[in-house]
Amino acid sequence: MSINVDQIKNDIMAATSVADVEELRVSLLGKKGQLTLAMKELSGLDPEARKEAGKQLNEQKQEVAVAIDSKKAELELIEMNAQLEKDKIDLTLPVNQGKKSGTLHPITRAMMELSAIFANMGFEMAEGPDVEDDWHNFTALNIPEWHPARDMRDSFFIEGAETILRTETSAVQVRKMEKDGAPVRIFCPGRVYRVDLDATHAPIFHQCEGLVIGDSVTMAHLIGTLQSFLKSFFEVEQAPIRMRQHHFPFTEPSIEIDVDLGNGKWMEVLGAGMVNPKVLENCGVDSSKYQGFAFGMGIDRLAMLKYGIKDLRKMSDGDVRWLRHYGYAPVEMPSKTEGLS
Amino acid sequence: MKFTLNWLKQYLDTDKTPAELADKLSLIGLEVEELIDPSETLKPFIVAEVLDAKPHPDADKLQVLSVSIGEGEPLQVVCGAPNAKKGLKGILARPGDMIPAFGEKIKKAKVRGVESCGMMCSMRELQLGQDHDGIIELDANAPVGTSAADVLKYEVVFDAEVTPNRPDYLGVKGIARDLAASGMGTMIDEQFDPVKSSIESVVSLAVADDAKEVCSYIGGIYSEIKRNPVRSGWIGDLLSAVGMNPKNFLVDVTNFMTLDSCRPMHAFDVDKLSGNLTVRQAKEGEKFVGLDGVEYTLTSADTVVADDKGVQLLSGIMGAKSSGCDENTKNVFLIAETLDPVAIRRTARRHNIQSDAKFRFERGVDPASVGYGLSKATHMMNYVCKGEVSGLVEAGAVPSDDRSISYDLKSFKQLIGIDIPSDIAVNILTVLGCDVTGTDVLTVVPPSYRQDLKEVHDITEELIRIWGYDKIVSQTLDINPVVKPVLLPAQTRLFQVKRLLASIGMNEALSWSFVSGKLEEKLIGQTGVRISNPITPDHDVLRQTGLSSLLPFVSSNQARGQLNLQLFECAPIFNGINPGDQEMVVTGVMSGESQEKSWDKREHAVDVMDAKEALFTVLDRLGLSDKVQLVTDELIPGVHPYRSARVLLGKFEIARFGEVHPMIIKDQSIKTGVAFFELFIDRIPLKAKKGTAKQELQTSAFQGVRRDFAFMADEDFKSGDLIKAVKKLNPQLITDVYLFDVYQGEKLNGKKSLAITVVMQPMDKTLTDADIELVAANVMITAEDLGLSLR
Repeated sequence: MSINVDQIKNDIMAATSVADVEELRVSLLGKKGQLTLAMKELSGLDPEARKEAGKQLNEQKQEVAVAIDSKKAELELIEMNAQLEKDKIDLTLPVNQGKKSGTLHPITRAMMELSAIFANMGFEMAEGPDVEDDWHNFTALNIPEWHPARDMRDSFFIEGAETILRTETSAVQVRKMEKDGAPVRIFCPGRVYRVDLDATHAPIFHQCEGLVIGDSVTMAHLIGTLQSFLKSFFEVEQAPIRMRQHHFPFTEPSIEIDVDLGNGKWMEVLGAGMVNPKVLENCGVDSSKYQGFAFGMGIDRLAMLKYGIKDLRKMSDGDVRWLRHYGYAPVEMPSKTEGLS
Repeated sequence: MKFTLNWLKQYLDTDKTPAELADKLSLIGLEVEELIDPSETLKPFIVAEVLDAKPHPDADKLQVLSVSIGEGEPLQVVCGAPNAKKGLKGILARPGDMIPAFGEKIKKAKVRGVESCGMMCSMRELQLGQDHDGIIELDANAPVGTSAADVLKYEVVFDAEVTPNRPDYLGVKGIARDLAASGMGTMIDEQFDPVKSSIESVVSLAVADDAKEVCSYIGGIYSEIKRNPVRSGWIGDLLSAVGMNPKNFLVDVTNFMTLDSCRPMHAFDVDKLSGNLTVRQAKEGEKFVGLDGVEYTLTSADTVVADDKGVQLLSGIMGAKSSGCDENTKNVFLIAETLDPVAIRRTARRHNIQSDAKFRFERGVDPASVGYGLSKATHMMNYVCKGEVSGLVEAGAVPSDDRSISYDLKSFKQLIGIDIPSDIAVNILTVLGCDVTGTDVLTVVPPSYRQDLKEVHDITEELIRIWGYDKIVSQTLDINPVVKPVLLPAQTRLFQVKRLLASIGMNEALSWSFVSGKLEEKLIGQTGVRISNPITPDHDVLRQTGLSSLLPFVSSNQARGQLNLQLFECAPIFNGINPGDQEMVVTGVMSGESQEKSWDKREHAVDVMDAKEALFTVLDRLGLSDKVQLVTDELIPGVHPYRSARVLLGKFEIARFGEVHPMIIKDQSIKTGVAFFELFIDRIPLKAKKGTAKQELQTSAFQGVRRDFAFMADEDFKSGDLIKAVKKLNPQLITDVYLFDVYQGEKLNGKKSLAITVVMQPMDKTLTDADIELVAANVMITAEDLGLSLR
């Protein structure tokens, strides 16, 4: 029985479905298939002829099998694709619809930025309580009981106690030095409280205190430190500032620092000075060996300047529209590596 | 402290502009908060003449004026001033001009039906004085059409913030002195001839022993005056320019001295006194009616000046109504005292009195200025009043002042970081009024009016503030590489929690620490720390739960149409009145739908399980979600009793979550349910830092097995108990237990069906059927022990 391989291959090529191909496979290569039977018929030939015919038949069988497999794969893909059409969906359907994206408050962001900057200058963070006693908030800071400087800061008083809500983060200076002595290089962000409420004042706001005490820390270091802070925070090459004489009982000399808003107006952002030796002594630090500087900055004001926030009162009224607009995505991590903004 | 340019120029010869002077003052320590220079604001207003004045057809008190501004047609202006009349020359504001007193531009308008093309101004409208009885009347020869700035007399006013260390800035003379030291002009020496005494004082002075600590010295001068003018001329003008109402000439002179030289004094009408004056402590309960008309009940801690009848002056604070000078006074006794600042402050605080004198005495009035003050005031009075004047009567003694500071210029470099040349230092201190000797090591004797200069660093501050902070060449600090983290461990943990909560879609809010006591009472059944002087009645306690801050936020946001909220805050709560009684809490609130209504039905009304999910996301991060215990079904104020739980770690409550009680929701006008969580994060011990290296990963080479079980349970059964118990069976083998179905239906007759998957992962061998059956049997026994039955 002769095998017409070309005819067989044409038949395979003409198949239009996987089932057709399968049917052909059975009729050709199955138990009773044409080629299988032809193989069996070889047993009647003499050995020399059988060897020759067997070789030829095997090659033909191989050729047919390859043709079947390739046709089958081709048709399978076509059939699968036809099937996939049923999976078709409208890819313009919206996703994440109305999903709220979470945000961090601008004050949190500002604190993260401050931390990044002070980290770079070798500072550590310190903290203190919001409710303070007279010693830490006033007396140790060289504001004795009947001193008019107490009028500068209207305090909230705690009923039935000798305590108040701290009026400045300076109280943390005292706690830190009482605990660890000198040298010191810390910054302390926190809430402070003053009886004040109008368009530009809130009874609670945020300050960041800094304290550097060493054996030869001078006012030149104070100014250098604050200049590099302002440059880092506002991300500018030059930060035009002006230093004005001021009075804080806990520092002498005392200054206030204004930044140039670029419209001919100055805005006060910092108070600073050389720590009054009396404060050092009050905290158990030997003022004949150590000296240094302290500064305090209003975080709310810095944040407003940097982030374009106009109304201080909206900072703490919980308006979710404001929080979503002025808040920051948690994936943004202000750092020296990724940049502060 | 307010003062005027002309006043300043009595002591300072300067050609600087007001703005230059203000800037310099701000730099050297007297921050000028406002500079009112009317020359700018007055520019657009012009002199106008009333050509004709007719009654308004529809209003009795109005007139219709025809005014000329020198060019063009006369303008029609409706005016209500009684003094408006034909021929009057006044100041006209035209449409578009900014009226200083209103802060608004005026517009062309109809007044009762008659068109008005401007406004004739009063002094008050131009902020030049208090006069508002009528419109300004200029001299008849004032040139029509010229600017008001050229014809009106006005003062340039400075308003400055005086720091408590500088009482000398509470006198114009002291301000002039600092400006002179800063190169802004030269000091004009004051020259007046003291009035020669011609009579004896009819009043004598004494300081009682009990008052000597408070009043070290008092001086007085007696005058019999011939004239007592009704108006006090330029002195009154100066006082009103800085906002002080003129009283009568005699009182105005003493007020002038207060503002001019920071030398408060008092003038008695001698005819209203009986006998001599003694400085003494008040008697307990002694009455005193002050110039303000208020009766004060004094204590023995108050120092007074008294005559035979009683208290005539609360020392350093306020005179008595009964013996003050008025326009009928003929015989005057002028006194000045040297007083202890703290005593004055205490008395004023005790009786809650504010006065210009008190403000100065509590900061420190020049103790050596009594004689000067009496002499100058007497000179000013006598110049106008004429008459006879006594010599100085006195009691006590001017306190000695032996301050002398040895100042090594090296100490300047040591603190400031730069050198100051000796000649500059000497010059600055000298112009400030110090006696200075020496070159490298100076001996500095400060003047009596600068009691704040006591120590070396006081001198350093004087030098650098006058020389200028801009002279300092800045230096940077040495930096040692920081090994420790910059943030405290608790801070780092909190920052991470904040980022985590924001990453699951919550918005961080920030609120005040004080809240409404009423709301807090409802929320937790108690109010803790009260504020004595709350900023508003709704902020009268320090919060003990973050909900007291966040619930009002839910309410206000919902009122603005924002119903779906996911807010959190990390802030302190206050458990007591002392420092350290506070702790940090992380509070979250959720309301409305989980998100906008969406085609894929992802939205759902938020409830207690959303709050639990957020809380457990955090607890998971802190490694605690498997370690905590829940306490449920408790009646706790403020929360839904069956939808709230406390979360314990060991014995400590570290968190709670739930739904806010519907009564409170209603009470707060909240339109949806509110779920919340509150994490007392400070109560969770900080984990010791283990470094970033992790334990080596052990993976199993053997097949894991999952088996599902379904149980029937009572409706009240806590499914968490099942999961916990199964996990405990063999923690090495059972790596996870998932609850994949909860079914409750009528068919189940008050029972519910719970279905779990138990994941077994052997580490050392392949599980045989027998192994698996053993675990399954144990699971079923455990469930039975809990009262469940296999479904």
